[in-house]
Order: sequence, then C-alpha cells, then structure tokens
Amino acid sequence: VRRLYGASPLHLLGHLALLGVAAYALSRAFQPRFAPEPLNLAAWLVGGALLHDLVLLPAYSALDALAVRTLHTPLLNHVRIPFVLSACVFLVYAPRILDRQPRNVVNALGVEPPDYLLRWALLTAALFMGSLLLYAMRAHAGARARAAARGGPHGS
Amino acid sequence: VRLLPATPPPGPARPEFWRSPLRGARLTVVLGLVLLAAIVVVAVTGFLSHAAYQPDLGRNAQVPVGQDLQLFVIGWPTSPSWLYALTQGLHVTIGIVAVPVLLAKLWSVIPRLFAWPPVASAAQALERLSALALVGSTLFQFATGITNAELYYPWHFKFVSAHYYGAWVMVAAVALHLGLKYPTIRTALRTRQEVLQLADDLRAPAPAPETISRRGFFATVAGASGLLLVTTAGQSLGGPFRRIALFAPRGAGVSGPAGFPVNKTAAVARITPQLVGAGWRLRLTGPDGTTAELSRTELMNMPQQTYNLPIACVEGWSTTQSWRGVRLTDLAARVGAHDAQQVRVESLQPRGAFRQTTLGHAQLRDHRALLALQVNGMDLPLDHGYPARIIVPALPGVHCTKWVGELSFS
Repeated sequence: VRRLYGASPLHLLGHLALLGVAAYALSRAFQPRFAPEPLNLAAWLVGGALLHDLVLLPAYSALDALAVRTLHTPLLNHVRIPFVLSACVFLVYAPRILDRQPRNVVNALGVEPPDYLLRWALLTAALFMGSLLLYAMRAHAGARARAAARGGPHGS
Repeated sequence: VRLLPATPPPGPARPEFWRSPLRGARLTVVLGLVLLAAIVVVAVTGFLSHAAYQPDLGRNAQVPVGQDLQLFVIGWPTSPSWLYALTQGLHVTIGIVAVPVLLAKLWSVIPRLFAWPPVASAAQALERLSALALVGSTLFQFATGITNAELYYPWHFKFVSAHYYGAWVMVAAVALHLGLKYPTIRTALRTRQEVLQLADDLRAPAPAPETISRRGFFATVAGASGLLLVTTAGQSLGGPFRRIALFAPRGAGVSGPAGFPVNKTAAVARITPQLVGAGWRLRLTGPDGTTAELSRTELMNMPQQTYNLPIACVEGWSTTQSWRGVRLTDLAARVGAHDAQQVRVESLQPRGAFRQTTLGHAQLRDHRALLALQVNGMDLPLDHGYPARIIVPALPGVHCTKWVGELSFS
C-alpha cells in the first residue's frame, strides 16, 4: 500500500472516513428544498477558501510589504497594529458597518440601528491616535535618554 | 512519467518566496491549538443548540430527524435557566473572537498551498482534498454564522441546514487534520528550538529582517480578538457590558419596548391589532379532546407567578427580564391534562418556521414555565408577544412563542 499510495493504510482510512462524512453531509445540505440553487451553495463552500488564499491574503501581504518599505521600524508597528485591529473589526462586522440589507434589521428590531460606520470610524481614529501618541511619547523619551547619555555623568 | 519540472517555477512555489521570519512549526502549532480550543467550544455549543431545539418533538426539527448524523437524542433541561444563554452566547461570541486567530493560522501555513510538486502521490492528493474540506468548511461556518448573526443573508440556500451539515464536514476535517498533524504538534512542542529549525519546512530559508517579534505578533492577534470580545460580548452578558458592545446587533444603543430588544416585530410577523384585540381567546385542548377558551381577563384572574428569566436568541444575544403570567401546568389542568407530557404551542402569526412549536415534558413541568402576560410590571408590548407569550427557562428564544393562540396538551 505504502509504495502505491504513498502513506500508511491508516492515512487512507482516515481520508476515506472524512470523504464518507463529507459526502453524506453535503448530499443532505444539497437537497433541493434546502439548496434550490446548488451552484450558489457550492460557491459558498469553496469560495471562502479561494477568496482568502488568493485574494485577501495576497492583498494584505502586499499592503504590509508596502508599509515595511515606507516606514521605519518603531513607527511601522505603531501603524500596523491599529490597522490590524480596525481591519479585523471591519471584516467581522462589515454587513452592519456597510449597512447591508438594512430592512432586515429594522424589521427584526423595530427601531433604526445605530450608525455602525460612524462607530467604526471613531474606533479606528481612536486606535490610530492612541498608537501614534504612544509612539510620540516613546520617541520623545528616547530622545531625552540619548541626550542625557551624550551629556554623560557631568551633564546638566 | 514526470509531467512537471522538478524545480518549481519562480513565484510562491519556491521556498525563498516566503520571507517572513515569523513563520515556523511552533508558531503554527500554538495558533492551531488556540484555534482548536475555540472550534471545540463552537462545535460543542452548536450541537447543543441543535439539541435545545428538541428536534425529536412535533414539527420542531429544522434538519430531518434520522438525517442529522446524531446517534442519540440529548434531552434538553430547564436548569440552570441561563443554560442556553451561556451555550449560545459562547457559540456566537467565541466564533467572532476566533476570527483573528483563524486568519493568523491560515497566514502561517500559506506556503503549503503552493508546495511543489502540487501532487506527488495519491496520499498527497487526498491530503490536498482534505485541506480544501478543512479550510473551505471552516471559512464557510465562520462566514455564514457571523453574517447570519448580523441579520445579513446574502446566499440562496437555507442557512440552518447548510450551517448544520457544514459543521459535520468541519468537525470531521478538523479531526483528520489533528490525526495527521499529531506527530508534528508533538515534535514542535517537545523539541528544542535549535533542533526543530533543522527540519521545519515552514521556516523561511532566506528570512527578511525581523520587523515584529513573535511575542508582538501573538499580542497583536490577542489584541484583535480582545477588541472583538469587548465590542461583542455585551449583547450576551448584559448590564454595563451592553454599553460597550459597539458592534453587536443587540448591543449598545439597541433597545425596544419595555426596555429590551425585540427579535422579530409584530409587523414582520403579520400580527394585526384585530388578531390581538378584545376578541382574542386562548384556545386550550386536552388529550381527550376537551377544549376551553380563555379571554385575557380570565387569564389575568388565574394565579400569577413572577420569575426573572433570560430569553436567549440563537443569534447569541440574551436578556433577563421579570416575567409574570400563568403556569403552563395550571393551564393544562384547565383541560384535564394533569399528566400531559407535551404541549404544542401555536402562534397567531400566519406564516413562518416558528409559528408552532412543541415543548417536552421537562419544559412543560418546570414550575417557572409560564404563559407570560406581563413583563417588568406592564402588559406585554405587542412586539414582545401581546396578548401572551411562552417563557420557559433555558429554552431557545424562538421556542418562547409570541402572540400565542392555542395550546394543545398531549
């Protein structure tokens, strides 16, 4: 088996078990009464992996490479980290931040939802301001320490 | 016959293409174990939610019984009353909080996607297929679950069945992945860093200068998860935490009549004032066909009980309020159903998956199980189910039927 297949029989068995479970589960999920448009469900099932691996990850990697090229190191992470935090909130809450299908929300809640875009913009501004303020304080403290070191024990 | 050149073409298939000094077996293993803990919580609470809907009763099943891959039925209790608020709050909150960890984990193993040659053996072909099942189903579960909790439905299939069966694919794929990677995990955790580096194919052979430490990387992921936790969990925890749940759909700044949010308004359920006016009667049916009709005044003249009980929604939010009404067992006694095992509840709403539901023995017999007429000292607002709604401890919110028209005991 190992020569023909390339791994142990247990490896094969495990994969066959996964294929069995997946085939049964998908055959149930693809029943016409649950998935009247099978291609739509299929696109959703594999679309996430394709979009993530071939679009999202290359896009943020390129953006990060650009940041690494243009910013020097202590400042780099003071920009990177608030960006990552803000982007994660945006990714998770994009439907509400972009106010997609607003009728669903009004119909369910009975009231107009808060302005999530404004909240996200304010949160993003606060994250960047906090991070850059921290950078400025550190840079200032560093400059003072360097000045003190240059002045030596006799410095004023 | 060799179809592809032995050396990979320029680009991501070459190991030198990947230059981050952070990648390595240990980083991936740590992220993987954190993600595993989150997925275990999300999967267990997800299957518990399936059990809480009591699919074996009446027409409760959302996914056909016998086709749900469950070998046994889990009875759903009524104590503690916050049980479903806890399990479903964890399901949604941990799912959201795990997103940065999931992204970091996928980032850490991306070179593997482009490994050269793409397929070296039948075994490797199957491994690639199982990786697609793993990543595809996990991203599907997170994407559909999170968007559904945000009341956004951009797909053309039934969410419940797709999310349920998708979970089985994800659980099976995670189990196989753990089995395959067990030796790697063991080695990465037990071997000294210097020795590990020698056989670590995730490490960049020509790393770029370090711009953030591994500790800094973990702290950033933890920070992103923490921010999502703080801006989400309040819709489940309530109290002062609700005020900082800035993005959760039932979080800060979202309320409703009687001081708490609505899951579904009367308007969208097509409840008209005529349906719930003075002519409204609660129809009771006993196991032997005995029937009774009670007006709201007659119900108000029956013994009233008051309990502080949470309602908890499958979308993850919950809120505890003071409910006042008639015990279900008192109503059962009205039609001679002293030892009824189940009650079928029908709403006045003309359509919808939850216009009727069946409650089991534990739910019917709990002394806190009410047909609520009032909340927080006032008559139920229409959007919260006037003239009467079911409130049962630890029962999913959609089974706490609003605008009740009929109770059939059996």
